[in-house]
Amino acid sequence: MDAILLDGVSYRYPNQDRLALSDVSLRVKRGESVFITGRSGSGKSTLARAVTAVIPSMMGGEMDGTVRVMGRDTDSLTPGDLAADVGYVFQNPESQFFTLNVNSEVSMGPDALQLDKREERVEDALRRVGMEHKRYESVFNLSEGEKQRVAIASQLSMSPEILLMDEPTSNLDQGSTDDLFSVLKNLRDKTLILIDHRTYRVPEVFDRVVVMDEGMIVEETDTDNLLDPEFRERYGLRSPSPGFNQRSCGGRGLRPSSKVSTPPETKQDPVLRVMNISHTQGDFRLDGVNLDLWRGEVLGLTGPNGSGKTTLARLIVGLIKPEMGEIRVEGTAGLVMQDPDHQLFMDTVKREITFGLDDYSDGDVEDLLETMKLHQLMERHPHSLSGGEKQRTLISVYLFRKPDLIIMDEPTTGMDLDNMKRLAGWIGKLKGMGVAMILISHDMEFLQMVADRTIMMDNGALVLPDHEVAGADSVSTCLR
Amino acid sequence: MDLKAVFSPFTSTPEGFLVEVNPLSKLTVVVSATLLSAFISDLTLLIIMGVIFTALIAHSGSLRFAAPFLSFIILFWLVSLAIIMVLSGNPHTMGFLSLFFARFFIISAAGLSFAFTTEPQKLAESLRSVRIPGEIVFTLTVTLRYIPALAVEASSIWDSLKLRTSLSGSSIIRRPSLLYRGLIIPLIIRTVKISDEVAIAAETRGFNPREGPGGSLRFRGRDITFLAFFTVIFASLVIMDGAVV
Repeated sequence: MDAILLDGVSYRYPNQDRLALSDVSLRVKRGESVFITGRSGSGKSTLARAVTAVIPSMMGGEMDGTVRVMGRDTDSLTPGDLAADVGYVFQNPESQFFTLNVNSEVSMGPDALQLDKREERVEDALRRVGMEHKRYESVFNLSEGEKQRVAIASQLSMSPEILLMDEPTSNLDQGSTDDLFSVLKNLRDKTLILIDHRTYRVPEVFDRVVVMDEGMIVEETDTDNLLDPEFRERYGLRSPSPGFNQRSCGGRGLRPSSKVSTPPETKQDPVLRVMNISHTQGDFRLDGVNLDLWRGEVLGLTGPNGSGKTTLARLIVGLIKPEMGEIRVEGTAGLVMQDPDHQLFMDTVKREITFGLDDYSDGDVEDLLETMKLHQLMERHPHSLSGGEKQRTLISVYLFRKPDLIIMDEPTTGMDLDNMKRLAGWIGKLKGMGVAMILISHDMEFLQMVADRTIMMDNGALVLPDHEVAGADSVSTCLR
Repeated sequence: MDLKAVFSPFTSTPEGFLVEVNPLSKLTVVVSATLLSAFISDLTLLIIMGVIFTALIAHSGSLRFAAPFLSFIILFWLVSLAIIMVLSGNPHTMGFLSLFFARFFIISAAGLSFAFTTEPQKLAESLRSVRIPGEIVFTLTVTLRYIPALAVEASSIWDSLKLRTSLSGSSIIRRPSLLYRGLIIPLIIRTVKISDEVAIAAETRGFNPREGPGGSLRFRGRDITFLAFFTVIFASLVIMDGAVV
C-alpha cells in the first residue's frame, strides 16, 4: 500500500483565479523519504495541506482529483481524522504548542485520540528525538532547535506512518539543523516528507526530490542531483553545501583574520561605532561588544539562535538601551525586521513610504518608487504584495528617510534562490549609494554572496575581539 | 514598554496551587468579580478587590509579567485624572473616571490571573465536563492559547512603529490615530493570518473538543478552598458596600 497517492489533483483557493495545484500526481511508498522543493508560490505548502486534508475541509476552495493517505480517500476527511496517520510539523514550533511542558505537549495527541500505552508512547517519542532528559521542562525554556524536536516528538507519540514537515529549519541555526537531520536519520522506519527551500544535508537523508513550479510537479529524481549546480540553476534551487559550521567555530574559537577590515582611505569616521556595550535581558547577557562599520560596507552577522544578534540590532537602533558602553550612529539607522507584516501599516504602498513623516514632497516619493521599481504597485495594499515586494517596500520606507545604516534581520527566511539573488542586487545598489548595512542571517550562502565581511556572535559576545573581525577568508576556515 | 512581558502567561507558572485549581472554579471567580465590580460603587472597596487579584497574580509567580500591563492601566488612570483636574476640576467627573479605571483594573487583573495559570487543554476538559458545546470550547481554548502569540506580534509591531514614527507618550496624545493605524490594524491583520495556523495545528494534533475524551477534571478539595475563600471575600465586599451606601 502507498503511504500517499495523489492522482490528477487540482486545487483553487477560495476567491482566487489561479490554480494553486494543477493536475498533480504523486506516489510516495511507505518508508520512502521525499524532499519537495521549488520556487516561492510553486504550490509546495498547498500540497502539504492536501495530504493533511486541511484543504478542502478547513479552507474551502475547489478541488479535483483524488488524494489517498494510507489507502483512505481524504475527500470527506478532516485533519483530525488523519492525525494518527500523518504528523504535520510547521515552520514555527511555538504555533503548535498548546500546553506548558514537554511531557504534556507530547502526550496531548495520544490523549486526544485516546490511544493506548500513552506513557510508553511519550517516552519512546522523546527518546527518538533525544529529548528524554527534558521531559518535564517548560516548553518555553527550550532552544529553537529543541522546540522543533519536541514538535516532532509530539507527532511521533501518535505513531503516524507519515511525518510531513513544512520548512522546519527556516528558523534554525546550522547546529540545530544538524541536530534535526540527525533525528530524521533515525526515523527511517517512517515515511518522511520534507518541504523546504533550503537543501542543506538533504541528500544525506532523503531519497527522492520532487520539484514544483506554478502548481505542477516539474521534476522527480534522485536527491544526489541536488549536488549538480546545473540542476539547481535550472529550477532555482539553493545549494546543499554545508556552509558555515557555527557550532564548531564557536567551540574552538575563531582566529582573527589577517585581512582585518580597515577604514576606507577617505579616513571618514565610521557610520556606526559600538563601544564596549553590555545589556542584560532576563538570564541573557550581551557583554563587551565592540564594532565599527563604515559607509557603504555590508557586514554579515551570524551566530547560533539566542546568541544576541537581534538584541545587538535593537540596541543599535535604540529600541533598547545598553547598561554600559556607548553606541554612536552617524545619521539615522533603520531596522528591517524578519517578518515584513509587522512593519506595514498603511493601505497603499505610497502612503506606507510616508507614514510617520510630516515633511516630504510627492515628487520625491514617486522618484523613489520609480528607482525601487515599485511605481506600478504604488496604489496596492502592502499586505497584498508578495514577500519580495513587501521587503522591497520596507527597504524603500527606510531609504526615503535617507538612512546611513540599515540593519536587516534574517531577510532570506523562506526565500527561494531567485528572490535571494534579487535581494542581493538591491543590497548592492544600496551599498553603491553609500548606505552601510548589517545583515543578520544564518544563511551563509546569502552572506557569502553579499557581505564584505562576516562576524559571529555566541553567548552575547562577538567571537572575535574588538575590531578584529573576520573577513570572508576566516569564515571559510569554519567550513566543514 | 516591552509588550512581550505583558502577556507571557505560559512562561511563568508551570505548576502551583492555582494551576491545579479547576479552570471552571477560576472562571466562576473571574465572572463573579467582573459582575461584582459593576455592582460595587465604593472606590475603596474596588481598590481592595484590585489588590486581592494583584496578590493572586503574585502568588502564581506571574507578577513580573503582569506588572507592565497593570502599571499601564494605573498610569492612564493617573494621567486621565490629572488632565481632568487641570481642565475642569469637576469632582464628579474625576470620581466617575476613578470608578471606571478601578473596574477595568479588576477585570484585567482577574483575567490575567486566569490566563497565567490555565492550560488550554485543561480548560477544554473542564468545559466539556459541564457539557458546554464543542464550538464554544474550541473557540475559548484556541483564544487562550493565542494570547502569548498575540503578545509577541503586538511587541514586534510596537517596535516597528517606534522605529518609523519616533513614538512617544506625547506623540500618541497629539495623534491618537497613530495607535489605531499603527498598532490595531496591523495586529488585526496578523491575528487573522495566524489564527488559521493555530486552528490547523490544533486539528492536526487530533485536538477536537467536540469528540475528545469527556472532561476528566473534577472538583477537588483545593477548588472548595479556592471558591470558599472568594465567596467570603465577595460577600464581605457586598456587605461593606451596603454599609457604605
